[in-house]
Amino acid sequence: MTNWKKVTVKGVGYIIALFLALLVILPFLMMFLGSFRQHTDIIRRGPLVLPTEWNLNNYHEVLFKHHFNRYYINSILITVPVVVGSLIFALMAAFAFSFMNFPFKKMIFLFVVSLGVMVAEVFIMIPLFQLMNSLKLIDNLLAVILPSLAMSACFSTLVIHSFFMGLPHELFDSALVDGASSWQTLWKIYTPLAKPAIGASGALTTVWTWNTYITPLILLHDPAKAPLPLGLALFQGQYVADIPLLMAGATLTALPPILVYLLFQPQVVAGVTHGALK
Amino acid sequence: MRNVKKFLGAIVMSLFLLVSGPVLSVIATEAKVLEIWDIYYEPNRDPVVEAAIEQFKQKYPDWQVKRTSRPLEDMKMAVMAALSAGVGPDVVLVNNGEQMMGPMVRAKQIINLDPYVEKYGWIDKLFSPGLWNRVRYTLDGTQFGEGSVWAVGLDAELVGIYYNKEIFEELGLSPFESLEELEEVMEKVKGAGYDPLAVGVLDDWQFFHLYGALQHAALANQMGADAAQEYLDDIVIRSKPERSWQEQGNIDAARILQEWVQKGYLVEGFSALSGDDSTQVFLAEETALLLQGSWDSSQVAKADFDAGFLPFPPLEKGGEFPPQIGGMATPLGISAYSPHPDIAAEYLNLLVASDRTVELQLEMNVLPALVPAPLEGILEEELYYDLLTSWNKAAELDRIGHFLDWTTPTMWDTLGEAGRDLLLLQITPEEFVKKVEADYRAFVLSKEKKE
Amino acid sequence: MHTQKSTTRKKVFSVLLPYLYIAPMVVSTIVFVIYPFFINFSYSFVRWDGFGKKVFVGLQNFVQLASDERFWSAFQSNIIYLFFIVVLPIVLGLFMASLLARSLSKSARFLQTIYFIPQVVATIALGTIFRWIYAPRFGVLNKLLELVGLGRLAKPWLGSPETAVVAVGFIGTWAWLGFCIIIFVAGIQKIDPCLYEASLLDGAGSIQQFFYITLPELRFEMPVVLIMTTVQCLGSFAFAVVQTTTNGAYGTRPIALYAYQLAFVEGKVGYASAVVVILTAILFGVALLNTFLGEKGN
Repeated sequence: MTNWKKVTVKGVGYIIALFLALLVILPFLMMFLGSFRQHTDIIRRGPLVLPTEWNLNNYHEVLFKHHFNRYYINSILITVPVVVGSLIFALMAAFAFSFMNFPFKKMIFLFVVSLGVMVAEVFIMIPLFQLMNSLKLIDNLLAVILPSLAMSACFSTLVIHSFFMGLPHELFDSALVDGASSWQTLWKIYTPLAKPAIGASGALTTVWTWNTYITPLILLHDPAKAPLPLGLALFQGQYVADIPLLMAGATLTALPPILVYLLFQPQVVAGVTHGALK
Repeated sequence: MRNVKKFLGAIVMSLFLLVSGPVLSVIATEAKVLEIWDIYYEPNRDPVVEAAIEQFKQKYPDWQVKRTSRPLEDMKMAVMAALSAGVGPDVVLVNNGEQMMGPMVRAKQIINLDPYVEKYGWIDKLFSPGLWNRVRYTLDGTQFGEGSVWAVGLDAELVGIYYNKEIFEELGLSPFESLEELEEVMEKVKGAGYDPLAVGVLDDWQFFHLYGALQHAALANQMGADAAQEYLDDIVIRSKPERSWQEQGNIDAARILQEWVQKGYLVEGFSALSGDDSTQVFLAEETALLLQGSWDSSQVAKADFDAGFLPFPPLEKGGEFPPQIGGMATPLGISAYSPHPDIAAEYLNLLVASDRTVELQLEMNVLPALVPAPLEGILEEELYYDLLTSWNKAAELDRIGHFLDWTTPTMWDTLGEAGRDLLLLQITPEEFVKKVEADYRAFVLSKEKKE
Repeated sequence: MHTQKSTTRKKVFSVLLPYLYIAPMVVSTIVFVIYPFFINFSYSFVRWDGFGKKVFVGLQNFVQLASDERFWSAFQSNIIYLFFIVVLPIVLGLFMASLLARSLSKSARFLQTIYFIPQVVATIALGTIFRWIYAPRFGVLNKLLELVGLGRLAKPWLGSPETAVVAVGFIGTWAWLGFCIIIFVAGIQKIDPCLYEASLLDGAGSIQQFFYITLPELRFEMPVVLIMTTVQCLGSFAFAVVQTTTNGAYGTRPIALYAYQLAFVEGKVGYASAVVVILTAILFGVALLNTFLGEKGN
């Protein structure tokens, strides 16, 4: 009797799980299919029909006529420095927190890193505008890069630090005995070792930075400087009624982070769950 | 250690380079360069601006022109940031009222355009006296709607009702000339299986048009059209404390709207449709009528069917022509930091008053600032003919009504929310007017406190 | 002389060294995150349009807040969002995780991958997609209802005060459920199976196992999930989703969006900062509650 119970519970569980998966996929499916149709076709035949033609016209139009190619470039110009910079900062900081002792270490770690991770864009949007305005960085990509860099660095510091703490301590001592400076130890020994942590936090910060919306909204007023999420919002503000074009824009915005995620999926999940143990 | 130094040095250098760019570009404008910051990037305005720049370059060949054009909210932020830092372009966006113009006048960031208005004779040629009030502020910047002129707009806008001529023919309907006739049309259209009126109030501004149009007509019926115009100017633009929203016309308009909702005259799903959506619904021939502005005329002209445009009718047949919601395009002024205001004014004149400008505007089915707009060469059956005749009539009678959100800084929110509540039949017309009046009264009182 | 100098140099250097390592991260965080965070408090005591002069008004902004109808309406929206973005995903996530965790099979891994996808897509894009799904005409949801014969239920989801908040909130549930499932699954998988076996001997049913073993063992995961979802609910997620779907109409506007409008559209920067302070207070309130519950769990 108990076996039957187990099987049915498991069965029901799987059905619910599958239903949920379908629920998650459905909107993306609509987005993808919708992007290949024409607006008049949606009006005539309704939303739940397959496209008749599979051409890239909408994508072409969105990319070149509506400047999504520029938004792509801006997104890359923002994301690459943020991720590279934050990983460098994080490796340096995590290294010091893990293997060195210095006054106020615990306090700095707690205060700076925790706040850096918990403070979301919304809570600092007004002062950030004033700060960037006084630094004359409004409409400069740096205005978006710098805060994102800081917040990503904090998150990556957490992940990498937690990883370093899991490594055997003898490694550090033996490196010093061999006469290596701390700098060399960090970059030549620990960085290669930290690949999983770097992959995890790098992938996550790439995705998060790519998707930032509020800081660009407030700090970048020139549409030519907009990254993709802001570009999509601007586009929707103007063309809210043309569904296929909007879906093409949404697909273009969503695709790169999904690809990064799929590539780094095992590390990302490990990183997310590992970070949970902090 | 050396690596770290190099690394830090590289960071400092790149930061310096990235920051110096914007700083240098600001210094550079001392030369013979005319810098323009406008919001006329749309496809039906941009060519006009570019043509004016061409004309300017021909007249002043040793001058360079640098133009930046962006959406309103973005440009507003850029302008405020620049001007408060003591720098700015020559020709600059100056949005009406307390949005931008008032603060800019008080902070002495833009210059008085009266001398240029006289020099070029703009008031005689362009717009209506009522419309000019919308770019006036007293010299001390405390009273909107009176005093000197501080900015001028590129073209005109008018809100009215587009109608599907083919559906009208099919059902034997003729253009309505009173509210009663309009309601008859909507009733017949509904009976034939169409939705009568396309409008979408997910965008607050659609409600301002819907209610505003009815309100203007109701007020005209209550107190006479010119008195209604005066009332609207006083309450929307001049914030006169003697005026109140508690007027029978305001309540009547709200009541009529609710009746329309109950009779099913508004398109199905209107509460979740945006302004653009509603235009699309009309173009898809699901409704016979569309309440929209002249800015959508080129889209409507491309429809599969013949469309016409009618101004909002008076309440009673044969009644006076009521004020029609309209305005001038978001205007431009001249910043106080411009080293060459006369040249900037020359450009403005070429932009708003030259023949080439009117020529292009007529080509693109835009309502020109010129009053009266010329009708030569335009066929009577064309949609554009309807638009131009409506504009000419409203401007010559000086009955151009208002976008109601201009009333107070919070009116956009208040009217949008109250409007949706009204249309969803959750509050009474009296309660609706009370809410609007409360917002207005609070604003008027706070203004008095500051002075 | 030479040796003395170099030893002091070395000593100073080795003392400074750790600080040099943490400097980039710490300095950038302090300048661009922590300093703005604290400055916000000072802004909340002034009346300011953001460009002109600041006028000190003491606690006036907060007093005004207390009677601001628009603020309380936004507050109400946020409470509802807390339910949809924090409570529902956590509760449903726990349930789903306990179902999936035992089976480490490939299909479960595959499902996990799918569940996380809404997390990596820009919230703006999610808003765009769901706006179409909820559209009154040509919208996916209404068409689906029509197809299964439930056409009567079709309505303008984003266009009525009764359904708009729920519709928008559901987007949050949809987006965050997967995240919670993944964290909880990882947490459950770390639980020693001996605990479960031992409890079986004591005659425990699955429900009791859940409350006495699974839940307490998840006391590390719970705070993380709670904080992340709450921060998103009070901050960027609700902001971006609402802006792209209803832009705050029909009672959907969260506090964050109201603050944005006050500061950047209506030019009331001081007042907006006071609103943000309240928002921060709510966040810290939840964080405190979190640690408090964590202590109790222990």
